[in-house]
Amino acid sequence: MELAIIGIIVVVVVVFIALTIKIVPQQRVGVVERLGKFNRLLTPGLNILIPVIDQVRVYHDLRIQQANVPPQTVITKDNVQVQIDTIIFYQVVGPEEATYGISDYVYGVRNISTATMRQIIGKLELDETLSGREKISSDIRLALDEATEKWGVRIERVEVIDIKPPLDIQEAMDKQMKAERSKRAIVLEAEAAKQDMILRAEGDKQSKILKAEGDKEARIRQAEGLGQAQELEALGQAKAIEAVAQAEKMRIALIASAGLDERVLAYQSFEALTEISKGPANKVFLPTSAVETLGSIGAIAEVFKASKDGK
Amino acid sequence: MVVWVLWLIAAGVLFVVEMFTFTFYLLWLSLGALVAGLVALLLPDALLLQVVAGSLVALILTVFTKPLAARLRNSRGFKDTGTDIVGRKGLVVEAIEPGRYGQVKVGGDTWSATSTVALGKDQEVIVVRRGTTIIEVERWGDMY
Repeated sequence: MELAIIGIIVVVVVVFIALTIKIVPQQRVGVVERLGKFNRLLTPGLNILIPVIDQVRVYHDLRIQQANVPPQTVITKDNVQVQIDTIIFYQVVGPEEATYGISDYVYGVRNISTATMRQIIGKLELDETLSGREKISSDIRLALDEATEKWGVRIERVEVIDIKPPLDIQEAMDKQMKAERSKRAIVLEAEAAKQDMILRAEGDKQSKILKAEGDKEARIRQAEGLGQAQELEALGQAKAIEAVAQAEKMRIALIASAGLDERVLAYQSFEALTEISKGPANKVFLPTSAVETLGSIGAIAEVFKASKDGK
Repeated sequence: MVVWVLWLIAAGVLFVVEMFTFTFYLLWLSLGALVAGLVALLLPDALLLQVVAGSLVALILTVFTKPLAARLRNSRGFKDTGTDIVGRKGLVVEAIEPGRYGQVKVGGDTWSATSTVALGKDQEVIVVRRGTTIIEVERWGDMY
């Protein structure tokens, strides 16, 4: 009998004390209900509760948590089904709202992220979804913040891990990429050929021009040389003629001063006749007045001629 | 075996378990057992009295935990970056118009924000109030 009482007392005391003292670790928080109504939050550290009257309904972890969203099939604006893989980071910031505002906030966070993402991707074309992850994240955040304000849960970020277009689209994209690259290659080749031809033509042109210029210069120089030479020649001739004329004049003057008589004249005529007789004509006409004086001379001329023929 | 030795053993075991688990109430139970042991040393036959004495001590100690808890509560703990965002400087990432949400970057975190005045991109703002997920901001220069 005594032992039963002792046992009951010990059990009651142990349970009572166990229910009274609660130690809450850092970054966790408990929601206390007094007789079923929300009373206060249990903050980290040592806490005292009144057993039976106070009850801890739930503990929340205040750290940032991750939730994987299983790959979702989403349809883009241009009707392509893509598989999108996301991860959500969220944090409980309002433990009361997280307890009373929503029944299961993890499930809620997952669902609202997926729904929002579908809505946002549905407005984008495939190419935009592939390149605009930043924009997707920012749009999702704005939509989610409005929705989760009442849940006591802040969705830190929604990261798109992977966007997978269907296989045939991927192949098409591959082909497009290849075609674009080969196009660039062909264009580059054509450009190279064009430049090659232009350069050659230019070289040809320049060489021809240079040649022609050289020719021109050479000819000009030649002509100049010729002109100068002719000028010099003419000058020389003129001088020579002048000199000859001068000499003739001097000779005539000298002859005149020497006193021109008949004998000299006769000698001169004789000389002239010998010159004439050397010419191609064999008949020589002499003025009649000269025949008289030169009758003998004619005979001599004939002799000369005979001697010349005899040669 | 004498009764008070049993009490002492119980106290020791409870104390050791307390050291491992850190639940605090086992410490009070251990002290209660120690007191019961002391009573047993004087009155080895009154088993009921020993249990009542030990239980009373444990309960009284539990009640006196409250002031101790209040004192410990004031000590500094870990502060979450999200919780004391008010008064910090932020940068508008997406323009805010009155009645519509924009986005503000505060220390590496992006928050949706409202404001009573229109704020353009890249303006500096101060966080005035914080809801769960949405903060209220003012232009940085406007506060004094």
